[in-house]
Amino acid sequence: MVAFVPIACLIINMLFQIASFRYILKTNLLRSVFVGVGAGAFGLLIYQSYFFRIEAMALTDRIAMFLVNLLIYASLSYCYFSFICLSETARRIRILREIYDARDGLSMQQILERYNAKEMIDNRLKRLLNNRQITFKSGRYYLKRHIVLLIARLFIMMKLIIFGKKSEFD
Amino acid sequence: MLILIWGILIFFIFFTIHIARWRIYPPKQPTNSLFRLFLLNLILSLILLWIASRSTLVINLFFPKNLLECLHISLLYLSLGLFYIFNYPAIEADSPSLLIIQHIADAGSHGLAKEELYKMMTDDMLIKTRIMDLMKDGLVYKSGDIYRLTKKGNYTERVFIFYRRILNMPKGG
Repeated sequence: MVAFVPIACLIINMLFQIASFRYILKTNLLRSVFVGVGAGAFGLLIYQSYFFRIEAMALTDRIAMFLVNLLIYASLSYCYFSFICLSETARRIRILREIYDARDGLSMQQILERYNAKEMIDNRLKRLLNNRQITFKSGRYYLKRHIVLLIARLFIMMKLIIFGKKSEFD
Repeated sequence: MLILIWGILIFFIFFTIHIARWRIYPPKQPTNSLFRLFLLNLILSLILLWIASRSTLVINLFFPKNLLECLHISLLYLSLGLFYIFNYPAIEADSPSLLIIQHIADAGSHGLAKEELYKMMTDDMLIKTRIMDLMKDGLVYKSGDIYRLTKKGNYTERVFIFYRRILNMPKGG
């Protein structure tokens, strides 16, 4: 049954994230994600220590089993986090929503009236400023932290490996 | 230890086949193809592992001993695979946030005005390409000049609406 522990911890993660966002944090989505991940990880630690007490295992097997469950839990938690990000920031999901809300469908012009590049850039600049990744001085934006830039470079590297090009527009 | 090794190895096989296939003959529906490859690899690997574990050779020491170990390997592979599949759209398409950061970083000490970003990142680049993706993945279809959701698109959107209702959140994007 130890195989199902990371899934149980993922459920704990989701419940804590939803409850903390709805009833405590309200507007701070990222913090609610941290609360959820922390609660699930705590559950995993508690169960693993209990399991190792009742089950006789070699130290290397204990470490390997803990690593396996930690990897499963971390990956699934990341998937849940990505799902939250998809519903919050993904362009495809937003376009789907606009067409869904219109019921009779939308022309390209109507889609662009509801959601366009300018709105998208404004939203993202606000988020990057709130997360202190960039700063705004005298009408211009400057890079403040390099974390997102490092992520951008990592994605470029992955694009090069998988598609052999740096951008979808190359 | 076997679970850790096999889970990572099966994922590595999936990743290698995926890169080779995408470089040699890129699929027309990448997301669907990726998912099919992911599941096919799991099924074939588990069948091979099960057959190998039933053999009487000495090497069967290196294979899972029971169904529970196979299940644990599958779970590890599934979680690693889903981790990658969730990241795949961000690798395939240029993320606007990452593009903004790159443009601002390239501007260096001069900084970048919002108007300059508007010129660099247009509707053609950010919106129209994603509508094409939605059509490619069978979520949207075009009838005349009008874009409509397919059944699959409708179902996908409902999942997100349901989740956003649980959280009490407004429109995203």
